[in-house]
Amino acid sequence: MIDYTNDDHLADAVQHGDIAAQEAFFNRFQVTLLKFAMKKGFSREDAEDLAQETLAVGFRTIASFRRGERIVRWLAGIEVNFMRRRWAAQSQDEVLDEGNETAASMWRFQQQAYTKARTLSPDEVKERARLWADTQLYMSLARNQMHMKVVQLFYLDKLTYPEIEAKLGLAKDTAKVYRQRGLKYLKKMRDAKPPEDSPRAKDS
Amino acid sequence: MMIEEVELDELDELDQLGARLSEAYELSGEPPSLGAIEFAESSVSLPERTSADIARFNAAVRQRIDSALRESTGAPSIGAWVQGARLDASLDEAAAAREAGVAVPAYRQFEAGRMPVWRLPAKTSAIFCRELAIDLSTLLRWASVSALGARHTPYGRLDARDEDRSKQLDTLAGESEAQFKEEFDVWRREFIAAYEGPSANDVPPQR
Repeated sequence: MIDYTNDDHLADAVQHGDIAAQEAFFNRFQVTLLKFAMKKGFSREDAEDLAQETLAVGFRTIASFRRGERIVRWLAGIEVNFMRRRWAAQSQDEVLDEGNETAASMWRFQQQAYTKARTLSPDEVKERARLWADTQLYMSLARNQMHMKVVQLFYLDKLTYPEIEAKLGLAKDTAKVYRQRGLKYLKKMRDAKPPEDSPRAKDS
Repeated sequence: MMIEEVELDELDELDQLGARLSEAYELSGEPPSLGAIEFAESSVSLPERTSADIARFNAAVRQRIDSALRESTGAPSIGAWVQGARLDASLDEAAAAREAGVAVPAYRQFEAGRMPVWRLPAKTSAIFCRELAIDLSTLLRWASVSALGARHTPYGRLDARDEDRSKQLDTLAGESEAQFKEEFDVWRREFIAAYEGPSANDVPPQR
């Protein structure tokens, strides 16, 4: 009996045309993908469209899902790529015309980050890649994981302070201080001698 | 209230580091964190989805998959896809039918997309598909999508005047669905075993 709640087993079964796995694959992730797109400011209708497209691509490319990881993250990554294409194609005026202020502000936020990331010079891209590799390591080594959690939620997941408060139960001022301390720690680590297995150390 | 010891200059520097970190993350291609996904799940409310909503959603996903597979294979059905591979291999219809283990008229129905692949004998058709270098995973996933997509149960109806009859029809629909899934699954397992099994051309191991 196959355990469809186990991601690796589910992926293998989908890949081999198992009908029950196919149904489990669609049923298990559709609501999450819908909500994730709505959280990013998409309307219910657009979120349905994104979730359907994501599951269709996920189903067709299930062989590329790296076993041992979580399907939901892999699918959300595919969905974000579809979102980015829409952010790139849709003008801010169009979003505002739809009268959805949350969507418009989310659009501005995402569009800026996306556009900025795409217009960096090759040297800047290289520097960001190093920064990312080092940061992952420093984050895992940090003694105060709460500070890292706030940095992660604020800069990577792009949650607002009220959202961080809702998630972690931290008041805005406290979250701000944690964010600063988290960044201060990362900066200190960056300025210190690079760890031996970091790309920075290998380069130097 | 907490008082932070950070100087203004340093604040600016930290903000810049934060912004660069955001860009680095954007460029990394890293999927969203589980925390962000879980937060979306818990903070967005949706009206409860009925089984009809779910069925409609799933049917739309299957339709997208079917369209994409038609496009990537350049064929409107599995039968037409196999036909393309057969023609590339210069194999005539009669030989193909023989290898697939069915009569020529039935084989024609299959290539024309009027008979599903899982109605072909699993063992012989699997060996035939392997010889034509048909990709196993694509074929099985396409078969599973089109099998469920084309599934029209003759029983799942409501009898407006008779509740007992409606229940009976529901039961029949459920039984029919379960039977279909079981048949498909048996075929699928046999197909995989034959496709992945030893070929007639394989040389037996030397002692």
